[in-house]
Amino acid sequence: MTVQPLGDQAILVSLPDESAAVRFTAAVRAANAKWLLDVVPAYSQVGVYFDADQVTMSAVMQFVRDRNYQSHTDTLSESRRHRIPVCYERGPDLDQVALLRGLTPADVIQQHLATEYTIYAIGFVPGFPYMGYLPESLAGVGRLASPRVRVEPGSVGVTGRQTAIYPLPRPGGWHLIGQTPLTIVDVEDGFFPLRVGDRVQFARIDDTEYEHLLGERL
Amino acid sequence: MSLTVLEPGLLTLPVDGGRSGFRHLGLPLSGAADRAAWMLGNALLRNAPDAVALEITLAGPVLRAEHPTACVVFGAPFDLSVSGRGAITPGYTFMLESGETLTIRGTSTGVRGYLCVGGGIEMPERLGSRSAFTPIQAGDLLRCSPSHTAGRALPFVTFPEQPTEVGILRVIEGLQRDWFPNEDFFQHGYRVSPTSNRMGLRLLGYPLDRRVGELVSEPVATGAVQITNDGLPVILGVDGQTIGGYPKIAHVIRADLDRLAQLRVGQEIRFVRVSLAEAMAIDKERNNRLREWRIRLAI
Repeated sequence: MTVQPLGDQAILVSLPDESAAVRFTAAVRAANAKWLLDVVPAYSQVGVYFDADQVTMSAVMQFVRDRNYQSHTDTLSESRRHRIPVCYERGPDLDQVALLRGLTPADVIQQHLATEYTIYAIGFVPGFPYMGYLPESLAGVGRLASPRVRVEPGSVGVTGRQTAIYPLPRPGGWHLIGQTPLTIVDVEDGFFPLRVGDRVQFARIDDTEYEHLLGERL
Repeated sequence: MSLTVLEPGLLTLPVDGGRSGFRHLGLPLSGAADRAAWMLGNALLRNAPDAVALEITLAGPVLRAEHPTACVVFGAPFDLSVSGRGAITPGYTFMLESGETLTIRGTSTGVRGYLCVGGGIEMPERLGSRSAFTPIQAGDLLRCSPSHTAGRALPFVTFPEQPTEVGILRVIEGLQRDWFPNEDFFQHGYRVSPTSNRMGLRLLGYPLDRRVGELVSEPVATGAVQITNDGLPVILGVDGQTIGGYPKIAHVIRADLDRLAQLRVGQEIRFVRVSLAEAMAIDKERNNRLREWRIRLAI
């Protein structure tokens, strides 16, 4: 593992793969250190956030190097499956993504539906699921030159090898290829149905079905 | 019965010290953007250190007291007045008697002030914090207990005591510093963009050259200076994202994070590089100074 400073109140730990990151996260949480504020897995990396009034960064770095995470459970193997409907007619960047990948918009939709994705991280904004990995034909689309000031909730985006759903209206820099009518997060209600390790299969719906399902919970 | 909101102000948010332990669900730190100002305001009223206060942004609310309430507005020096009594000096504690109306207008410097009330505002705890998710609205009732204060103040109304320091942000190098081939970031000044908010401070100025490439999204922290694809910096604030894929050229040190809360649109910013050891020393010195004032106020 490699360990680097993430500012002066956190460190970023890089592990061999996504599964190791999930196990390492469990190992750090289990140690229950009193200075530990948060542990955030994302793909093969883990952010460890500490209270700088209680512990030094070098002590935290030593602590994480001492974790024997191999024996901890990989929750990826106990994952749950979700089916999430998407209306691709509601994706403002669908044509642009097709152009960038040398595909037709219909190809982009078909390729996006062809894979069952794994949630590798939750974050960016509350409940935002980072999923991977896109098929080769769709991978490699960059971020927008300047992020949108507002992305509508339910928007399905792609960038690099990743796809995601914006749960709440927020600024965002991913290319948007569709929109789900379902509510996937309710912060005030503590509703966070998606967790790291869950699997997601998208299903195509039309505008009528979109309107019909709008506002229902996942 | 407590304080009735007659006008909500531009963006007035009940805040405490924020939430920790929920970043893995994507919930940001939240809470007071200028923590020192919030703490010192509470200390002036001898409140519990985590008491909920109202964060006021640029233009404040109008509130009516339903019972005697001890108050102070600390942080940016907002224009304040009480019905029938005229102006109140910001940073001084004062009494709001039953039926009196407090009007908080604008501020000539800074952005955010904290209206603290004796005993704090009562808010339900949600996901580890009593900070609200949405701003107050006209007609809301902010609950607190009757309280009393004899007027008192600190010898300053902003912290750090010199507001000119606010535009200088000390940073340590970010994880993707090597994506940027030169020293442009440290040599050019930047200005605060109007699209800035509690999530992030967007900056305008010299666009940076960067290595071509995309980063797999990785965990980020408050104060991260990300460079978007147009070459301009975004500094993550207290409501900032928890994971991000833009390269991070630098990281504002913990001791300077409160300054982000007080930077006005158009204000000049300069980044000054420090080592991790220097960042820790600066943080310690600042914490000691803050602690000293809080102890003095507790006596």
